[in-house]
Amino acid sequence: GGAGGARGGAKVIIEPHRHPGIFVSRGKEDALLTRNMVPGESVYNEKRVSAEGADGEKVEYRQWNPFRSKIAAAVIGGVDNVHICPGAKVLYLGAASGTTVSHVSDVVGPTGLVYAVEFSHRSGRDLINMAKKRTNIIPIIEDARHPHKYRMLVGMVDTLFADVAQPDQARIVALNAQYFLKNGGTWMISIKASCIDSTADPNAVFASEVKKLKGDNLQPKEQLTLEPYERDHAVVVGVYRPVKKQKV
Amino acid sequence: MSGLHLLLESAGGFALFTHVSGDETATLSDELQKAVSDPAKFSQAVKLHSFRPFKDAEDALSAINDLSEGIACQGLVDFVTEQLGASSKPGKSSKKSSSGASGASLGVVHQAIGNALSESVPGLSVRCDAVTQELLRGCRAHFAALVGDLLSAADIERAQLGLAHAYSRSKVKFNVNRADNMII
Repeated sequence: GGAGGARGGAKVIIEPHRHPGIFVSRGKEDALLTRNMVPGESVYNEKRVSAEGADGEKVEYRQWNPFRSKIAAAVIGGVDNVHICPGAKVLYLGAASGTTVSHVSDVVGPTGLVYAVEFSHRSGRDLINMAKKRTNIIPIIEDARHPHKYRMLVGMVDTLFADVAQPDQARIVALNAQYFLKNGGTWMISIKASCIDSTADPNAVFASEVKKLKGDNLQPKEQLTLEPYERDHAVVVGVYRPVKKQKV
Repeated sequence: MSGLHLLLESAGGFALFTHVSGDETATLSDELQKAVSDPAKFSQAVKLHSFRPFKDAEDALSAINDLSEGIACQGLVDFVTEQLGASSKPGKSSKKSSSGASGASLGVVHQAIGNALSESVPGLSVRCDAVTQELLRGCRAHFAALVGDLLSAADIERAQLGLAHAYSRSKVKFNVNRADNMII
């Protein structure tokens, strides 16, 4: 690993995380990082840290805040596999202004691709502007309920991530998977219990959502809550149309 | 043979494929699922029939604007008519009466474009069901391999990037109220 000096000479050591494409800085406080695709620029005023790489070249990283990103919270929460790695093609539903999308763009790098779908025009403007500097992001201002409207813009993807916070989100994921997620591809969905049913017990809501997903060939593998970063939120990770094992 | 064709709308242009292996009832079986996942097997079952690239960025943008509303743009109607049309009658004079001599059937991914095309192209029978959707998943997955030298994977991604920016910018710009379309 490369040791280097951050601003002010504080000693920071940057190590690769267990998940490829994600890094951790060890210092006074540990922080999750992604390698900045656009060195010298922050997207949402997040902190940047530089370090010298193996070949003596300067490498810049951006801090990834788990309070602002569900994927970061899931990584810190110990999710087994995020399936967002260098070279991956990702369909991201509910991109908002693109703060998390920018980190996903860092992780997948120049050989990967992020199709970022957001319906709100206000957030969409920020998303489009951010994507101008990151050419591995394909911004799509359209309703994720209607994947047929953006079918010309999206290829087959390895991973589908959804953070749409809609009561019918299981259906939204199933529809998009049917169009764009390859067989054996991975999906990850963030479920905010109060967006589905604000009166029911969160665990009951998660269970009923998982049941809906299963019915659409979205086979869950793991589930974790996002405490302490988000309240009554769960992330479920699974496989789409798992390739059947041969019976022995 | 009647033959099933498949229409895939890409950011680079419209592509028509021919489903050559006849056993389409097996499409949903495990066997065909495997074939759809395997590029070598899939490219034996489905071949490129023809490809119509967009002339320029403007052509592509107007195509996606129409397509997203379920409208078949003139370029698509002309392309399908030329490739699969039963009669050479121009325009939409006779609807379904012309005895689809070619018997060509076209598989599409969404019913809206299917309806639009069957109204505009005489003698064309359109299919949109689980089988065609499954085959089109395969076409999307192996698109670069199927179109061969016409478009590389990098060309396709560049086309997607350019068109997505143009489409998304126009969406944001044409928001008449300038108010946000918040979702519930």
